[in-house]
Amino acid sequence: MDKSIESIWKEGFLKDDALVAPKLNDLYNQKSIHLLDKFEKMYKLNLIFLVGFSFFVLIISIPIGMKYMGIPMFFIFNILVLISKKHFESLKNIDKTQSSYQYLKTYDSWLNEKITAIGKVYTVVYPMIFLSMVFGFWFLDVGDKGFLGHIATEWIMEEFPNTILVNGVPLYGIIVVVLLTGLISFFSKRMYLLDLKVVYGSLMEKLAELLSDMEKLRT
Amino acid sequence: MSSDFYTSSILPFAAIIIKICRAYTNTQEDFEDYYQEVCLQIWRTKDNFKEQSEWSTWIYRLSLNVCLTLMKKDKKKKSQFDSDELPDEVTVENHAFVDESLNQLYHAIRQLSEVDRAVILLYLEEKSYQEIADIIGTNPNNIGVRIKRIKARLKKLLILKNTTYG
Repeated sequence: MDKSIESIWKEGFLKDDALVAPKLNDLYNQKSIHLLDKFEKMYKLNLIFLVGFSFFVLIISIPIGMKYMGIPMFFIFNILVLISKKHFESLKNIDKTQSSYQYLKTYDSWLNEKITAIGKVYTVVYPMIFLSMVFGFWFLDVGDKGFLGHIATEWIMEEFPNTILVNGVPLYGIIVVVLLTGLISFFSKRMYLLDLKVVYGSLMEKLAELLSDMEKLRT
Repeated sequence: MSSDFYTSSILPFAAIIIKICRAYTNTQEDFEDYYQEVCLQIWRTKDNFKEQSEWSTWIYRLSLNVCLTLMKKDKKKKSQFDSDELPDEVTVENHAFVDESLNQLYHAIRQLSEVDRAVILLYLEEKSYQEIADIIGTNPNNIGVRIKRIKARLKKLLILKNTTYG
């Protein structure tokens, strides 16, 4: 060996096309696969978490005397999971043989369509969760004294004897609950979008970025 | 990633990635896969770059880490030899360069352990001991001794190769 390894290194790279970078035709494909895989994983995890949470609420609510909250919530969450799962399964219908750009475009429209559809479901889900909580607290069993709602009503009647009762429930209480339910329903879409932003925000931004990037490349 | 992220931020440093990926792969196909994965990781982690170091140093570090990870994954798949252990022989000869001496040098480098490959690549790229230590995450005091040992081994491997193949 005549030359030092340092000179072999230096001189070797001086010759013609020693350092030509390979073409990256598939780079966008890989990036989109990675992004969508991540999104799908998170979506599945989210559904698993919801099922787990519904069981947790159910199990905890019974011993603490809030079964009127736990049982409805269990059903609400699981119905929500079933609806979301059904929507998620429609993802399989997207043609994967399209180009990366077309695939991402279809995926993006699918995502927006689902956000709108599930957003509508949430206009019912959030108020129902709220109502379950109201029922849960109203029927909270406080031992010999009966339900919390009845104790509260008795106290209100003692303090404000002129309170109007509807089936044993103070009218003002009903009005407040109805108003709050309406407000929650009204703001449910915003709440859902906020929730979505927290969980999937960065992924959705990346998807939009990737799409605009590919659009630029196409022009 | 802006549309020209690859052209503006990766391509000018492609030489670094190529030199590193060549040292960790035996075939053109593997080389292209590794190169692609390094580029992809640079894009994915570009927001983590805090400008505390040079962009080129960042690329060195990332390229080495990606190659080491991919090698580990490949090794797991093939279950040929343990991590950081010297392979008995490089299975596929890679004549990637026009310069035959460079091909021989790479052949010898590929017979070093994974960490030794990283050290010698950075040394040949004229990185200081401190930079090598920073990139690899080791103590700069040991780098000098390690380089001497690696160079001696490389010389032996090159002489052996020349006497074997003429």
